Amino acid sequence: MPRESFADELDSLRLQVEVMTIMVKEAVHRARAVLATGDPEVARQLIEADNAIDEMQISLTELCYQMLAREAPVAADLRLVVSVIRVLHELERIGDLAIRVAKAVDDQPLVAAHPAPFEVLIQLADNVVERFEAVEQGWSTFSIEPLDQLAETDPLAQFAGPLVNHLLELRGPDAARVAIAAMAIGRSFDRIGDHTQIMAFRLRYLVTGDPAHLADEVSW
Amino acid sequence: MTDPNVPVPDPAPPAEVRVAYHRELEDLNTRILQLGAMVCETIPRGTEVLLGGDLQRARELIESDDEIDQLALQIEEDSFSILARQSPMASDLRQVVTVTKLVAELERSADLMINVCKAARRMYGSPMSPRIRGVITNMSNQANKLLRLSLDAFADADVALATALDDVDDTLDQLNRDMVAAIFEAHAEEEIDLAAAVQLALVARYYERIGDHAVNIGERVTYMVTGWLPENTGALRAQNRAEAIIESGDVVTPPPDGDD
Repeated sequence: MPRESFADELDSLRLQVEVMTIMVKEAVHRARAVLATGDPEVARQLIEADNAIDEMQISLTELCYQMLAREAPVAADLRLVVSVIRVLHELERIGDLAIRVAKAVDDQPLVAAHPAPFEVLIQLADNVVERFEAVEQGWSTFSIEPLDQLAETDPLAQFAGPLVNHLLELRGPDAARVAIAAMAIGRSFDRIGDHTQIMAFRLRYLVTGDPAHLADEVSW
Repeated sequence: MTDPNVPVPDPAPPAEVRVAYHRELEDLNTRILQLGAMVCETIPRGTEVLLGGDLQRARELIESDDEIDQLALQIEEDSFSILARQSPMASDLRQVVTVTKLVAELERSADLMINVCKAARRMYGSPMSPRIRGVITNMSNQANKLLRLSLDAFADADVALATALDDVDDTLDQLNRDMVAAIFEAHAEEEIDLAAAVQLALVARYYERIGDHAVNIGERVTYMVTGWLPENTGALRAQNRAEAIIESGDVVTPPPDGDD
């Protein structure tokens, strides 16, 4: 059987990254649902589904290493393979951060009992979901146009102030526990936003070839 | 007489080309260790800023992160350049790929110490109990030790040391739990306000994450030396779990906590 051409292999790699991105998008949606509802069944589904994400990261990372060793790609092909290695790492981390939200499911009623900070957390989660969807669309079409809709501001920079202000108004013996749990959930979504932004910078570098986007990625 | 139907093998590269190539690889190692040393230095410096409430030094440390970012970017670009020009194979390939991974782990560790400095700014003027100061000092020392050991493992290609880092990291995880208990106690006794409690919980998390990055470096060193991918732990876990489900139909056990 003739060996698959390298161009076909790269197409296949892109397709598999797209599939993994969709799986991670589902995890981010579920994390938002766990925060909103405290549903332990959704938390369980999120945690279980992470196995498939881990497996995909392994197989695709190994594939990329094999491609580097076997084909010694150059220019745009090299950029694609090394960028995919980086993005696989970001996707796997986003999956892990979504799990952290799922594992905070027992604290959800405690946090949800305080409407003002809870509402800010929901807004933050919605913002992060929206960002991830834009980046997912960009990676699936290999186009930077969907990235234009991303706001330039850091999600937590926008929400941190109101969240902290509301948390500081908490009183009572549980105040520290609620505040720390809410901050941990908020930080998980914030970090998902950061990893999403790195995926956006990496896509811009990949599409334009401009290393300035790599500098943006490192300094983010 | 040469048979024209037999392909002529590529001539071996001249000795000076091989020497230059290996010099590039050695240079890559030197610079990643230089980056590692710079990042290690930020840990005690950032802790001093936090415990001393020194805003001037906080600003200096935050600004110095640009230097770390710059070096990280150069190393990453040079790694890609070597991949493109030299087409390294086997252990050389694994070394270059490992360096690209280490850059990300180290750069992120430096960012975490910048976060500590920013927390110090937010907590400026807040008192800290001796117990909390003690835990912070221990966490800082432990994080620094772990990161240095991970770099030693890389420099010496020491798999035994690399694989031991996970156990060393358990101490840091326990210190993080001690810290949360100390924060709850201090807040309950009104020694610290809620804002400081939240900041301190985040600070403990930052040190713990540096330990996690050091463990990740150890796993990458193991890959560099043996070709074993750290992600295989997850694969093996998933495979075992899938087999257990098929055999018993039991509900799966959640995997260990992941992180940022």
